Amino acid sequence: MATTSQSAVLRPPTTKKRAGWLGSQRDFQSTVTFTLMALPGVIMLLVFAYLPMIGLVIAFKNYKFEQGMLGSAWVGLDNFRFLFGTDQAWRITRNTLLMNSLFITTGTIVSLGIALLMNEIYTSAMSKFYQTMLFFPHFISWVIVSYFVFGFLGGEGGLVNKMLISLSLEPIAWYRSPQYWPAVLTAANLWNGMGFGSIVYLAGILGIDPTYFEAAKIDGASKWQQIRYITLPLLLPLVIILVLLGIGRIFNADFGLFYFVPRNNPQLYSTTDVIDTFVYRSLVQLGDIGMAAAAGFYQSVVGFLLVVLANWTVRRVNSDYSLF
Amino acid sequence: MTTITSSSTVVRSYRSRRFSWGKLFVHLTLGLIGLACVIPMLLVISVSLSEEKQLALRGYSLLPVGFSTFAYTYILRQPGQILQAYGVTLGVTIAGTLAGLLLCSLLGYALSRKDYRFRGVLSFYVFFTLLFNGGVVPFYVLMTRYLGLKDNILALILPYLVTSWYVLILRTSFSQLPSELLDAARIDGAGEWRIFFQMVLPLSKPVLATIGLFFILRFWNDWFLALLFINVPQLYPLQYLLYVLMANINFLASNPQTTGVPIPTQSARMAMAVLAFGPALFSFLLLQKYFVRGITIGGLKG
Amino acid sequence: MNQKRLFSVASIFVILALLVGCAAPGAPAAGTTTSASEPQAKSDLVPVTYTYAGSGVPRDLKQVQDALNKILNEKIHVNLTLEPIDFGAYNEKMQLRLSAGEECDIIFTAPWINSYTNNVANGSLLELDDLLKQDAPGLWASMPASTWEAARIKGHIYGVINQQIFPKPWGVHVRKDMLDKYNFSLDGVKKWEDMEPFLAKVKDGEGITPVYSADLGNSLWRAQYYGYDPLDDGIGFIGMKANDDKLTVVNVLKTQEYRDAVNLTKKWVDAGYFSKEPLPGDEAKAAFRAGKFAMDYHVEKPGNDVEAQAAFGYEFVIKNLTDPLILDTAGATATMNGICKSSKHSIDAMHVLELFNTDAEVYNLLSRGIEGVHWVWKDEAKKVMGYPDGVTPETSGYAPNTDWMFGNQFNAYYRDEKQVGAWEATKKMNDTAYPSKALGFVIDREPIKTEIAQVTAILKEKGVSIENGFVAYDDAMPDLLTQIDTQAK
Repeated sequence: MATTSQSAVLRPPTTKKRAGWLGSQRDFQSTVTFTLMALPGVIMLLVFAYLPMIGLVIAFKNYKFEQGMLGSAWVGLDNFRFLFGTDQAWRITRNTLLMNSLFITTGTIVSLGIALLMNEIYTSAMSKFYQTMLFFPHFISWVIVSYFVFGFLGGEGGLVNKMLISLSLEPIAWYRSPQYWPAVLTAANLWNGMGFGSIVYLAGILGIDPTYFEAAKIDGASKWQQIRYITLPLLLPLVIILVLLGIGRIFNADFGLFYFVPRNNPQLYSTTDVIDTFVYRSLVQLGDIGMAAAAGFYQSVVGFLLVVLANWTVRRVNSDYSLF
Repeated sequence: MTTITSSSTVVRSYRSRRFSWGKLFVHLTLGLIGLACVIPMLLVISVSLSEEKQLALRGYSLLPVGFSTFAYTYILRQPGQILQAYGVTLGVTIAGTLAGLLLCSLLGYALSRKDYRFRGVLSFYVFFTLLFNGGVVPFYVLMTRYLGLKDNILALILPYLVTSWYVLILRTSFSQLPSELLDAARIDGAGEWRIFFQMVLPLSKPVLATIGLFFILRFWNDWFLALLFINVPQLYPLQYLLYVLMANINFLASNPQTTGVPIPTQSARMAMAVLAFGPALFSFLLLQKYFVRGITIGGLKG
Repeated sequence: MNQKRLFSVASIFVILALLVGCAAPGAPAAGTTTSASEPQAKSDLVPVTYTYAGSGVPRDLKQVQDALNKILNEKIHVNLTLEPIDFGAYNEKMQLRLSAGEECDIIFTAPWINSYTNNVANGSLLELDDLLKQDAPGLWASMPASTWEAARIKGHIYGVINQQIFPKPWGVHVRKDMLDKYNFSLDGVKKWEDMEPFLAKVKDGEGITPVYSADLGNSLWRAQYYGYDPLDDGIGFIGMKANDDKLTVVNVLKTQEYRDAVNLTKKWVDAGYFSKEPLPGDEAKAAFRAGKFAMDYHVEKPGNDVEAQAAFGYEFVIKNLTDPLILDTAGATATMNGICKSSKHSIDAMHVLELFNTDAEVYNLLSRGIEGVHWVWKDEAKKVMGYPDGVTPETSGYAPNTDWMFGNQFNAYYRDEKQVGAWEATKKMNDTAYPSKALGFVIDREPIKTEIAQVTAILKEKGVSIENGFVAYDDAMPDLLTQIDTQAK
């Protein structure tokens, strides 16, 4: 006991005494340490993100491989004409934004709802079973999904049309009617993603300190009030993270969902064509690198605006969680 | 005394019955949603075991029409290929997820430290990559000509390792950690590396699990990198193998110029899907306990 | 502040670039050594790579390659590497490789995959005019100069045409059992409309949609059937009357013939001869095999009945309805092999192409595999081959099934007794077809590429349903035409 107190007394002076130069050395040391920590990531970004950016110049060039990336002739904004000459740029941007916001809202609401339901029966033996079932769709690729969707909607024997006929309603030519596709794609996306989202949210709910709920119960709070005033506010950070991740996915969007599920059917482009699929098609179908690069450049610009917008929104909700 | 007990049992049984109505509702809802998730899976299996001709005549059904395993024998002519692809995908997913998590959280942690001198500059450096990407062609040139990564398994891992979006989310999450804890450790003489590995990472399990899941799904589902950089079939990851096999089947089936042998298209496609998700699903069922607990552990500290 | 930040980011960037720059030399060096070490087994042999599309890598590829090289080593001192790329990835991979300027020797190129015109426009393919005459005289002489004209773009030939059927004999192939059952003969059939009585009977009698259609639907508009040369497959809406001396390029969508064709298609859709909701291609094929269609209409080249029977399992009767046959650029250049501008061994590559096209042994080795292993003679005198005992196309270690990709198809051995003589008949069709006045005329897409991209996009989206008879021409076409006109300006 005495020794402890003595050492406790003794320690402060030594630290204080050395603080002058050791402190700055520590400072230097920690800068070195942090830099070492950051370095691998920084180098990876340099190689895989910054170096290819040189290629952005292609968007403003008439690219010929013999002349190389830098040697090809400048053509100004010529490559952008095919984008803005028609209403394509507007359309793919609108579809990208509209569909992704639909996905994020419905995905968040449904996953949260399922997680709340699961939480109610978490102790039951069935709980694991439901979780597993909900996760199944993740194992089926979009290519396969596109065949089911066709089984439901397409052909003369499509299940939905059979149902419509039995209800003596007009069958619908789904694959020639773009107006229905935002709903179809949203449903497909929900089906695919809700298992994942709900498990993450369930983990979040289970992580909430149970004393909060006990206290609330003692105060006579109803189930709904508990959810409204304890669960949801405490889940907010997780919701923000998942929503941000959802926005992040827009730039490397669920290409398969937009490309395979509508079967890359040109008659549905007016609602299903997003920037991602457009860029892909312009690369492989136009065979013109300059125009493809222009489309890619445009995607970058839209992506930038989205990031800024998302961050601004998060900052308004809770500035602790904004990214920059 | 007796009356009190009985009245309390009445109350309890009343409450538990009311409760069980609610529970029944919950079970019903979840059961229906679960069914909607499982039925397509059963359809896939059923179609994969159906006879091609019967499928064309009668369409999909939940029970195989005219049982046949021809689709499987057709695909498994080269069983080694699928096994190999599994190996590649598994290796890429595990290595990629671990390395990706490590690199992203190291960078994210450095950026989260308010006493780090280059914090601002490097944050901007990371953030800037969100804005522009160079497009496929320059990326391809870089990878194949300058990094020599063609037909190299690293080509399937490296490009996705440091995802700036994840770095920024990890940074935000790390900066929410109670600083007193870290300061206390520092005063006890723990080095920054030790603090990072022994305190920061364990305290951040939920966000690491979430980002880790994203990494897993990304590596598991990717076929695009393979499409760009992999030509030798030994290095095909699973999803790309599927993509290619299906595209080949479609091509053979729809090109009038190929002097065709009748190949089982619909059942083969579904059989491939079964081979792709079957083992993955099986291992998921085995590991599920740890998996959900992995996210849950540590809880979520607002 | 902001400037300072940018400056420091820039300086980090430079320092790291230097770091990476120092570390980098190891990487490319490793890349070059691996690629160089492989083919240099025999030092006097020139390495040539043939890159083409296939369905996967055949199990016995290496053996076939070795067998090929036994011949090639001796005859032309070349060591050939076969590089098949999956069909599903071929287009994407080649577009990238070529735009990246990656080295390649011989590549498969066509209007419909790894686009010939794009490759020429992007400067990826080598001019072959002199090489052909000097280094592949046999190949050069195997086709008349007028045919070679088809591959000419802005004065130069960039691709070696694979000989096969050139004109498009659009016609019908009908299941023989259906013809017999409904007592219908194709002898009197001269045009699409003549099929209608038969289709009506099949529809009522069998309860099926009699004519095969798939994906987005099919149209009866076939340029050559109506006497048009479609000029450039990549630009869907232009064409020229094949016998127009004045070479007037027209918008085919405005022609009476197009209108008639799509009106007829609409009539067939409404009558239930075509499906109103077509199945995806592969499912439709399966349905055909299962008996859900009675006929299809396609390029009815000699021997097509045998091929259709192999594909669908029914006996077929074929009838060509296109008269006169038209030899046009699109048909003649349907499948080609080109040499990359980046090739370091273009002369040797041309020697290889010479053998592909003139040496039956080499050609059949490449397209059918090794005698005794992958195929056996059934009748050597008539050049009919078959499979060895216990080998089927499914189990064979080498069955690319794409004869038309590798060279002169007239050197191919027949797969079936019934096909004997088909090559002679096909060659006769090629030689007697009416050469379009526009032959050798290729539209220079470069100056109008933006307009092409825009109009093609509009057509793909809105034109398809008109062309395939789901929407009436008069209802939708005027709108579409004004839209195209404003874009095409």
